[in-house]
Amino acid sequence: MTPGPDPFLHRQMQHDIWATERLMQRCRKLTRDQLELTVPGTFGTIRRTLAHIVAADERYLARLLGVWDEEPLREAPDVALDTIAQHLPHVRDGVERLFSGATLDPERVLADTPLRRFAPNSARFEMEVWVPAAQLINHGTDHRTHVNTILGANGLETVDVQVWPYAIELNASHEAKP
Amino acid sequence: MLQALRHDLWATEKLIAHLRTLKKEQLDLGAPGTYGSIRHTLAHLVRGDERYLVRLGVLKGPTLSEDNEASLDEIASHLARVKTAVEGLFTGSQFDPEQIVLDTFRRVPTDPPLEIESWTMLAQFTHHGSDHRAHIGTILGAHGLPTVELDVWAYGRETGAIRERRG
Repeated sequence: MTPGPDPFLHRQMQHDIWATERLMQRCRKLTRDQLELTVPGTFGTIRRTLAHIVAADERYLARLLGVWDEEPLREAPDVALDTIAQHLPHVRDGVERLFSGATLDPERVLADTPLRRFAPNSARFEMEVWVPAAQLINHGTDHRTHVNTILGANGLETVDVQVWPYAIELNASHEAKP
Repeated sequence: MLQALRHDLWATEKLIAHLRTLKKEQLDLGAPGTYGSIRHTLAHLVRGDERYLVRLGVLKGPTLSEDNEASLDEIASHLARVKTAVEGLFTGSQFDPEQIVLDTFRRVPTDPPLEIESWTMLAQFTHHGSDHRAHIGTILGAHGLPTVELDVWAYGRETGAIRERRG
């Protein structure tokens, strides 16, 4: 997909989704028991961490877009990988909608989230646009690292989700021709 | 873009400040599945920052040595150079994320250089930082040591970009 206005942020979010998809593909090869693995110092089990990444992505995008019609992913401990995967297209669509219009003003204040309808009594925060946008990127990386740490600590194959392999896939990084 | 980079630098600075409260031997702790010891990971993180900026042509001079001997003071002094260079990226002419940079840092020195779009370097900069700070957070937690909040929410609260609305 070609980046629109704010090409850097758009690319970062596209990389974020690519990385989560790639990690999901890897985790689909795990047994049910392996999805319940964890190690001290990480967020929780592999399954729970994946659900947390995608559910949070939906929350950040809902806040940024100001509208979110889909039922957000529930972070239940036994959520199926298929259920998590069904929500990834919502995240991808949300990112593309975010960049389909005018340039984002990073300092515009977002007064609330449309997901308040699911938690009417929760604390209400207002924040500048750049906060949930940058948090989406940071949060995804943080928790994907947890999953890779759990895989590595248990002798399982990890997956390279850095920006380098993504850039090579996009041909944004290639060997110079002599 | 600048806010994301500023958050990244703030998070590494805050982590270094937290690690200064540890004993010398605690800096050599590691945990399975992470990159290495706390000290080695931190040096690798800041050296990575420097190398990305060298490739973008906004930082010169020797980069941090990536070994288990780097002191926190030494790492912090290199981070200060990184911070100045990042701010310099956004002063003067507009940063062009699509501009091609030539990367001559190849593992096999005879390999041809890489042509890389600039956005890649800065996206990797923040990714790499978050990735390795998460490793250090895991090591601290795994050894029962206190961790520190480094996410964008914490940064947003500190800078006043997030405010609780009452009523």
